Amino acid sequence: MSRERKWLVGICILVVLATLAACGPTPTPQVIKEKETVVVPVKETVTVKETVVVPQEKTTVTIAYNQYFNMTFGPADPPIVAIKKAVESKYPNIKVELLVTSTEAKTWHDMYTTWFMAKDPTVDILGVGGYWTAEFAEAGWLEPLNDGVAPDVDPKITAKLIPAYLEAHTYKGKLMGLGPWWGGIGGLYYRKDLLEKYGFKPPQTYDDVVTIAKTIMAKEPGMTGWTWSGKKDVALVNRWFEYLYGFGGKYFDDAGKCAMNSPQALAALEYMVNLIKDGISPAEVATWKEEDSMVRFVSGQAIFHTGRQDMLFWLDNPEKSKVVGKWGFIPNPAQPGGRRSGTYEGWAFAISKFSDSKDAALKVLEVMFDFPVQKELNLSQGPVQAHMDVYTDPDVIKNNPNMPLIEEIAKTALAPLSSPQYPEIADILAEEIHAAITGLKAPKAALTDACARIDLATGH
Amino acid sequence: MAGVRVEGLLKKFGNVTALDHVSLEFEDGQLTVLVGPSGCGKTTLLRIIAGLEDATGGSVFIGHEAVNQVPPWERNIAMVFQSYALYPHMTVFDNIAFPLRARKISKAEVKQRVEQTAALLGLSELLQRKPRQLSGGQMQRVALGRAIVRKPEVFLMDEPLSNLDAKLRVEMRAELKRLQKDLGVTTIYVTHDQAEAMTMADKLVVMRGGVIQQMGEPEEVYSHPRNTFVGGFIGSPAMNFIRCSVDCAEAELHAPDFQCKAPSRFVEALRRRGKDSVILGVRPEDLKVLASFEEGAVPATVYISEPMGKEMLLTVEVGGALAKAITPTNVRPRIGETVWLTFDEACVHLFDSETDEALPTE
Amino acid sequence: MKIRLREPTIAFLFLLPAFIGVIVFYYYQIVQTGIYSLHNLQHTADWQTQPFVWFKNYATVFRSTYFWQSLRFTVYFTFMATVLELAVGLGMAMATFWVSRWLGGILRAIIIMPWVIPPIINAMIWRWLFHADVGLFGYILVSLGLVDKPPLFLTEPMLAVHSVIFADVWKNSSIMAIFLLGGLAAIPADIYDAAKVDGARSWFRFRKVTLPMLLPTILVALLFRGIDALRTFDLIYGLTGGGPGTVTETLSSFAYKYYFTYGKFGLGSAYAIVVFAIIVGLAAVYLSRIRRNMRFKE
Repeated sequence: MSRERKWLVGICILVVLATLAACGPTPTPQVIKEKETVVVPVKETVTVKETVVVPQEKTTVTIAYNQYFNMTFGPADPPIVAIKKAVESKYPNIKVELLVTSTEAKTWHDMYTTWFMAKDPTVDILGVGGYWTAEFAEAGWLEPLNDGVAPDVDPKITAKLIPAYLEAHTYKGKLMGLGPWWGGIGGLYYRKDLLEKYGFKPPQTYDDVVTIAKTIMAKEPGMTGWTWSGKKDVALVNRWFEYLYGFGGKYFDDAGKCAMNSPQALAALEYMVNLIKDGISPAEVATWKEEDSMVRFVSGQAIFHTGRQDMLFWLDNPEKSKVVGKWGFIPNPAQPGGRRSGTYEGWAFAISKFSDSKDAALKVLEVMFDFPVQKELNLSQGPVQAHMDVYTDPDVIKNNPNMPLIEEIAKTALAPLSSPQYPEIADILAEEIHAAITGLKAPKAALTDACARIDLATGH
Repeated sequence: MAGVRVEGLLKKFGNVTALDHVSLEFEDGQLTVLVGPSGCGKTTLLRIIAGLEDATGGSVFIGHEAVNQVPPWERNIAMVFQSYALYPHMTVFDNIAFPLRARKISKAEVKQRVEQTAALLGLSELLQRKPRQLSGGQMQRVALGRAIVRKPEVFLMDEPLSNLDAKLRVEMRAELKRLQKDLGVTTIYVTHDQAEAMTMADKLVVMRGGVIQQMGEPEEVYSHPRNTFVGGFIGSPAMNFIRCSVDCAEAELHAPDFQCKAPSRFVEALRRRGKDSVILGVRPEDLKVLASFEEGAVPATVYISEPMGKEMLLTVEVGGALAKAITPTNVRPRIGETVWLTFDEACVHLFDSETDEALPTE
Repeated sequence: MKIRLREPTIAFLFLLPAFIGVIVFYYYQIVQTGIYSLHNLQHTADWQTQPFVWFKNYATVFRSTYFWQSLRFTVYFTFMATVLELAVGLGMAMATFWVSRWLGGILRAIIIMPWVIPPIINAMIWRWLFHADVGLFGYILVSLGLVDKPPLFLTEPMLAVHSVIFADVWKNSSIMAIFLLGGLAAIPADIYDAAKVDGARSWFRFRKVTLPMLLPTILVALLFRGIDALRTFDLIYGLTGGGPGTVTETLSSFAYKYYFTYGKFGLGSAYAIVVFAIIVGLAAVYLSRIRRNMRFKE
């Protein structure tokens, strides 16, 4: 090879290598603009006595939410239709558009990050996960709704919304979003028939659950004691929070440092690990997402199951369930000194800081959380909603006789871990808790590591 | 050592018949050349003998053994390819040693035989080189070395010299022939070059369209071509053909421009045949060009003259057709000049105008 | 005046537009990522206004035990996956190369299938196959009487590591096979014929002729697949989510998580640069080792 050729080949190899490697995880924010509809202002001119009347231009408000906005599961219109109708009758000059996002929460979240990085003005109202508000608010990507600077939400609207949830979407005293639009709260499903057969009352404490499960499992071979979602995922973190508070632990201490290495937290994690060690929960829980974890309960093979309230609506449907009439649903248990807690996973709506039509967006937001739309929403998508009157509305109760059960569960809703570092904290917890329940780490080591990493992430 | 025999070989590729019931015997120790234009089936025949293609029908015998079912690696044959097919990742030594190693011959013997073969072919200095570092002639020798090192019963050579330049090709012909005689191995040699075929063959097989046209010693094929194809293909420049009508009463042949006596050895055949036309074939080297008229000479116009050293190739126009003639250089007609052609009737060939077959002589 | 350019110079001029494209579209971003990595960026990429922290982000990367653990896993995964993919891909290529053209086309279409399926769908298929309650593999093992109850493929650390390798091999052997089919097609048919007549049986031919002549293709294919495996992310994430614990966490997941999920662009960029350097480094070592073998065709 001549000297020049060596040199050239060298360069080519380097370029190819760098190109290959650069195709990988070197992330760069991209602007994704997918606005589907372009609204052309109406340009009808009507000449009346030589005066030209120019019709007002319509403002378009774009809502980002997933495909469920286009669906209905009950006797009402899909949410987007209900919103469009309500907005049109009240504000004829506002046009509502839907921008469909991913249903997968992680992808959805990362989509927003990209938009915000690009300061995209097209999206006005965003559906946000309960945990995202703190993160986005800290980054300055959301418009506060009660800071005295327009747009601020009408107090008459917020007065009718359940205060606990408004608090969940408040960050550093500022209301960042209205919610829940739709939500899930964790609770305990149990086999009423089996508990009655062996003379047990529904469990109040976690010890009760173990006693009941052990007794029934001994007499009913083939039954699984307790199923829950333990895949290394946000579902596992949700379960963990329920045990944590049920054993009297908490997220942070007063100084804001991680408190999940307290004796109470350790007791909670050891309890979870022992559930698997003692065979009350099968080792498979560590691979189960929520939809995997409910299978055994629904097919009549499990005594207890922890999950969201949405199963209520079809557990008595013989096509989908083998436990028709044999189940009960109660708030999660708690040890003495603990709090009966259900993880609240709600979807709220917030206004983007980069929106180019914030005032119109606020008007749409208010319509979305006013009673008529909230009621329609319950009828089409099911609970949990923010508006108080929905829970007592006769039409709603007629359509959904389980509403009183839900109200009871809703009282146990756990305020979300509010931190701008929530995504990182959730990942750390998923890793460490998963390591503990799969036996890779001792519970104490897992919690010590978790807190060390969380404090590093939050800067404490 | 063994001869090779094929019987009723048929080979079809889809609808195309490459070999049409070919039967042939390749005698032990002889060098047989298969010659013909491309697509005549000569390479297919070779590959069937090697076992690289399966015949559609018929049998192949090596010695007395039918080998149709024997895979190539168990037939004791060696083959040299037009592309040489050297293994590019191996040294010359390893290339030549390959057939021995494939047969699990001991290391010491491999070394001894490779070195012996290399010495024979003048490759001793090149043993550690890779094929890419060799010239065409050297690669050719390595390919040969790989073939002879294991002392096979039969050599198959598929156009082994056609990738060499003209001068080297002529040298290698002689060398190959010499080598074959020294080793005494039955050799089947495929080429499309009739000159190569003539100079090398003990026995010549001319093929066309999957059918054997003629088989025999080169001189015999040259002097007694069995049909116009063989007549035209063997010999360079090609034989001149002139269509003539036959006057049986006078025993004369009438071409458009001239007439001549039918050679006496054909008269009987012409009579018996009774047809009124025939193809007259004369080789360029048998045409004599005269500057002036002589008894029986035919006038012609010079079209092109090409000096070739000691001889000159003349293309002349006779009765509207072109004919070639070889003359000594002392005759130097100019283009457009009229010359006179005669030929010795002993050297004339006559072919049936319908079947192209040569007419029988007495 | 006539300017005479030597061939290398002309070649360089022809390559120049491509170089510029590469520099604009790749190197610019690499430089940008490098700048980000020296700043403390949280939920903003506006580095001019944010604190410059020298190499603090890199210190965080190298002090993280999780980083080292995932480096070990990623290297092991890459090694195992590429070696197995080579073996399986070679088998598939050999099995489909010498069949008739018609059958070969169909077989190749079948082979390429796993590679065409998007990784995330692939992950779903494998999650299902590995599922402890309803998974096919567990069922087969139990029905064969090899185990009493289905193994926890994705929960037992050793099983999880090898389950993801298995899934990756299934998916990517096909692209290896396609690479190698290309390499096989480049070997002149005469060479095989020569070897056959020289008395080489199939195994000897494969070992002494096919394999060495395929070597340049194999080495390049290994490089491409190796780099790809070092960057693996979606298949593993869909299968195990990096679990159990952090056992199957890959290198690439860090940059993604810190960048997109946590909004820590500075630290995320530092991870990206470190991973980039590791990949380029490994590839350079590999290339310098194999260079001699790449050029027998010259």
